[in-house]
Amino acid sequence: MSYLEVQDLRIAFQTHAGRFGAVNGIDLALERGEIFGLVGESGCGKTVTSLALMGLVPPPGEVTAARLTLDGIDLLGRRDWRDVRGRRVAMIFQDPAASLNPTFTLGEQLVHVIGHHLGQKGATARARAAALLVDVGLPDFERILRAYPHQLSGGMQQRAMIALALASGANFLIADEPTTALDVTIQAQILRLLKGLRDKHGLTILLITHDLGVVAQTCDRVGVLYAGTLVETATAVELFRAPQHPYTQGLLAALPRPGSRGTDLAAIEGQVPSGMTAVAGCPFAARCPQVFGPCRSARPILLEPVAGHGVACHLYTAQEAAS
Amino acid sequence: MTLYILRRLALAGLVLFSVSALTFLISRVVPSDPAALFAGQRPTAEQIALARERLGLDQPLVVQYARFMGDILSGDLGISYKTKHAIASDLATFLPATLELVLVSIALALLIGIPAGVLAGAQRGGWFDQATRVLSIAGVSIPAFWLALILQLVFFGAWHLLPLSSRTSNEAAIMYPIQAITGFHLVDAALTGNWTGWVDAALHIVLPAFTLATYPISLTLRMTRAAMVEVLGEKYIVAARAQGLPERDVLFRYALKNAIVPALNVLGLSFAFSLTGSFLVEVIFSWPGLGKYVTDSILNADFPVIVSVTLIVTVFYVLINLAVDLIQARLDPRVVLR
Repeated sequence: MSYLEVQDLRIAFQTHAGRFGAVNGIDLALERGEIFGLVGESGCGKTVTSLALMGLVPPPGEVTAARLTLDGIDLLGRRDWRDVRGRRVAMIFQDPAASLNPTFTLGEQLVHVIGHHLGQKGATARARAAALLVDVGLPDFERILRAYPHQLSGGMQQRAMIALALASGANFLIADEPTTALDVTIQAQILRLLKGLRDKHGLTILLITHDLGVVAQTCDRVGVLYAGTLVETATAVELFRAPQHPYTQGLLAALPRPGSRGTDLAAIEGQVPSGMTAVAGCPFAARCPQVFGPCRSARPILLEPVAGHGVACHLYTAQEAAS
Repeated sequence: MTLYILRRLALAGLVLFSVSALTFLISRVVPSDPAALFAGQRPTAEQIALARERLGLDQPLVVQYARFMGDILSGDLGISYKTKHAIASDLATFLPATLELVLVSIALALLIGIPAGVLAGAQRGGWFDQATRVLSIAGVSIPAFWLALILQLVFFGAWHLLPLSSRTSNEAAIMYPIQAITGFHLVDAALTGNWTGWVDAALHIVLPAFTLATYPISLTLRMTRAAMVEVLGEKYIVAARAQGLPERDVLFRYALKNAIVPALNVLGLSFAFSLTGSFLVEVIFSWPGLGKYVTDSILNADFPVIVSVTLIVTVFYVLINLAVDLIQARLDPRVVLR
């Protein structure tokens, strides 16, 4: 049994205009201690998937799944999330400046979380807060503990946010676009920090990003999301070496390369289908350069033509059937 | 910080000076004759002339103003034209009565309006939000005099739960008189351990304070709700929930600290406004306060009283606004005082 098991996760929002399917059946399995990258463009359901793992999908969102467990604990239909949020799962966000409460010092915020989850108070709690700050690469903890968020730089804010997320002792960290708001040098530092924390504390990390560069630098395995479905999953090395799904191939082809200077960047034509209309076939069919017969009528399921490399595409369904 | 306070106080001096000049000027240009008032009933022309000379009303305006300011700066507020009482001693009896009433009503607004606003904002569109919406619209629209009468009818007339009016009952005033120390009955009774008197005074203040508080309660509630709705949409609230903090902490600690400032501003203004705006409430509940005192003086064109009360209220306005600004800076470190 995997550390995190997600089977047929569906998230829908009932709106005035109709039912919006944000996530339409995702299967994921994360092993303890790995960094799993969830990649996709804006609106493909990355963030809402991660919120579902913490019971934080905003109303009127409805979450259903065949199975949703973390370390053997059922996360489905849970009303009381106290055992999960903070204790087992922690989360950091895209914009650290907006994710830290502007009216409390970092010391106050850290000590409050430590006091709530670990029952530590006063000097003990402050000592733990200081240790956490050192852990995330802020050795100047005396100053940071007294500082308000707006007095820190973006990189320091994200480090502080990571310290705050880990303060409660969670082993599973969801990092939602943790480096998008930071400049490139800081981005590399934060990614290195996340890897270091994984190595040191055995964290399992779900890294959500739209940036394939981040995936390449950090992740062990990757899942590619498209319009609320998982189209491909593989180790990071495999994904870059031999992408299987036409969407992934298109994404990788669209990356600028040193040799491509002076030529137009490749792009994937068309638009992501709206979640408002249910697509009968493959959600990528309308944009796929290799579209054929069954693509428009039947939804492809995730198969593993090569062991450990899953792909949801009829090109491979046909192969599987033939072999 | 200290520099900021000093600068604000200096500015307050300027405001006070302008207000005094303006009130003084208005009191001199309105068509009424203070000397005739001062001289008593059916005065002769000589009596009026004498009064005019005694009050200095025959002097040029500038001289009059200089004298008037000189007296005030030396602590002499003058005497009432009508009653010939020293205004300072009048204020010493009426101001504490009103201040006590207003403070209790502002406390009610804080204790009811802010928590109710937090809860309404937290469950936006829920039954509590809808109910408080209706109640607070009623609270700002219902005339105080009508509400006061209804409250008297219900709590005194029908249920005999609370006294009808005034600050104390006659029995308590005779058997357990409250010794005047600060002029605040609740404080004085507590200081002297006169608990029977304290309960009596507390029962008397409930209805007038609540009547006076309906407007600030409603306003505070709506302000807090609106600010909470905005703050609860912020990412740091999602982050706080993701950290597993209990909803109580998220609402009343993490969110409220960011959402309370508009409500405090409203409360500050309500406080200063209530000092003289409490007139109707004071009349209906026979509350011997500033509102009634100043209204009587306006009806009698008793200018020294009007000017004195105006200045006192101005001082309160300035101090309360300064206090609100300082609290705001204390709550939100991003506010820089300059």
